[in-house]
Amino acid sequence: MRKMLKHDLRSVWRVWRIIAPILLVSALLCGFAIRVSNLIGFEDMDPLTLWATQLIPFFGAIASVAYMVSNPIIWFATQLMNTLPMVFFVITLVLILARYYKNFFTDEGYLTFTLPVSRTKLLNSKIIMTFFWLILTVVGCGIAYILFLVCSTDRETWSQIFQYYYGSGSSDLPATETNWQDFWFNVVYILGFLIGSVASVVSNILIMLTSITLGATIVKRAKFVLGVGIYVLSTYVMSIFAFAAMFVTVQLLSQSESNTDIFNLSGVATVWLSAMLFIGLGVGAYLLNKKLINKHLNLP
Amino acid sequence: MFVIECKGLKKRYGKEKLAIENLDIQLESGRIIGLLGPNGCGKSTFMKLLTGLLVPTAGDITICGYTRSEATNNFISYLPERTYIGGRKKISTMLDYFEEFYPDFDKAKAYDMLRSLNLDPDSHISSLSKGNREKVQLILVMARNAHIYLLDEPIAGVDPAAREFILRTIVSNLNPGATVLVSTHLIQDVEPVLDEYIFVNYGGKIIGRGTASELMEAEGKTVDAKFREVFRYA
Repeated sequence: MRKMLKHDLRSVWRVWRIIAPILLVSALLCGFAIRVSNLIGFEDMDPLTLWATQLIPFFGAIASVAYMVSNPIIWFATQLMNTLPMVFFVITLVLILARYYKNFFTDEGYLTFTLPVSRTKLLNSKIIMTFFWLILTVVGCGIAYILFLVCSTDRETWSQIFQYYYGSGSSDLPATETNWQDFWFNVVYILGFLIGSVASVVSNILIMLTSITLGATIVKRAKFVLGVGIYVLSTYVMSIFAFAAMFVTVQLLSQSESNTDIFNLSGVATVWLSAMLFIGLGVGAYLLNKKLINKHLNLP
Repeated sequence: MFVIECKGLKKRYGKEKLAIENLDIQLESGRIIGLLGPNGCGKSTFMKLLTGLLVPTAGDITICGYTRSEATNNFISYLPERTYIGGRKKISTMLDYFEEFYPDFDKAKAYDMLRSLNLDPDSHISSLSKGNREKVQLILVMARNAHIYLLDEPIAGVDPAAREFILRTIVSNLNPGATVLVSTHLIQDVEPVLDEYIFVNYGGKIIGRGTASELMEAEGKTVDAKFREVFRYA
């Protein structure tokens, strides 16, 4: 299993080591571009520079061009930072899924499934690596956003933000009495929320991989496309159920007499039920995938 | 001891197509055996069942005394009809891969074979021709000191000169005591290296088995001539 993990890690890393620095450098450049563009814009100019630009026509022309250029730069940099992390995430996801498909369901399967490694271990290594890369991608996107914010925001704005949050913010909160029932509700709610979040990510990965397996085992052509289609359809169906569950929760909450709002019993029950549902879906998808790979492998 | 033993082996694809029907077979160690039969008679299916790529509908498979499982893949070196190596990997990376997964992989032997075929270990697999990829794949398979070699059409896609080299490679790199099961249509080419032949008909039915010398003594025919006689189309 360790060997399989190592090879999976290496193969995705080959692409990741190129696209991750591109994302980070782009975040830095976008951040700096916005900061510089803000500096050369008229609104932020100090009076002396403004006077100089008006006095000397040459500087005035430069300032006008800079002003015209700065706005599109800010727009472009912001759009780029909205798009790039998503592109980065999609590339990683497609890479992982394509590799899963290629290793298991194309001619490479003749090598993969004749290794002295059990199919359960092969499948588990893929699941672990998918989880690992998706988490790493989310972390990478987070770092890129932080870099972008740090580079695009000047010191004055930062001090204003800090002042807002730490200077007077906390004193505005009303003093509350300790309510132990609420406290335990909160604990159980947050625990359920955390378990549900992890379960939703893992079950999504399992459903994704199982969809690809389903596509690859039930037809002879366009296997990968069918797999992606099955995944899209299943997430669509699941989102309808999730919407229905949310609607029921809101109805229950609105009928509640308790003042503890979201931390009441129905809220906690919904969070835990969702967590259980995700765990159930994940286990179901995993068992189905295992059965398909063990019994119905459909190599070309 | 038999290296491969199958009892009541059956493989059905879907509900209708029966690829192998009640196959009982035992193969001894230290022999090069030709599995010969018309297209679609179940030769490749049989090999896939031995490697675990397919699950039998019924019956038992024993490899070197053990019931077939992923662990018995340690005994088997399998060359499928398809080319499973590709992409931007180097040949040397594939050698490392095999060394890592198969304890019986002899890397020095693989490098020797690459040298004799004028293949650069640092070249990328994607830059190789189809024939050269097949040669690399054969080297990976034959560089293992396995108990059983399953070769599915090993000479089908290569030129006659390369065929000769491949057959020589198979024979000269063979682990003593190992069994080689070769499935092919090019009987004339493989005949000189075969210790035994097995004629398989549709449904995986064995309709003839023996050695080339016995056949020559008894009927004065080569395996190729006998094959043409047995499987002649009406």
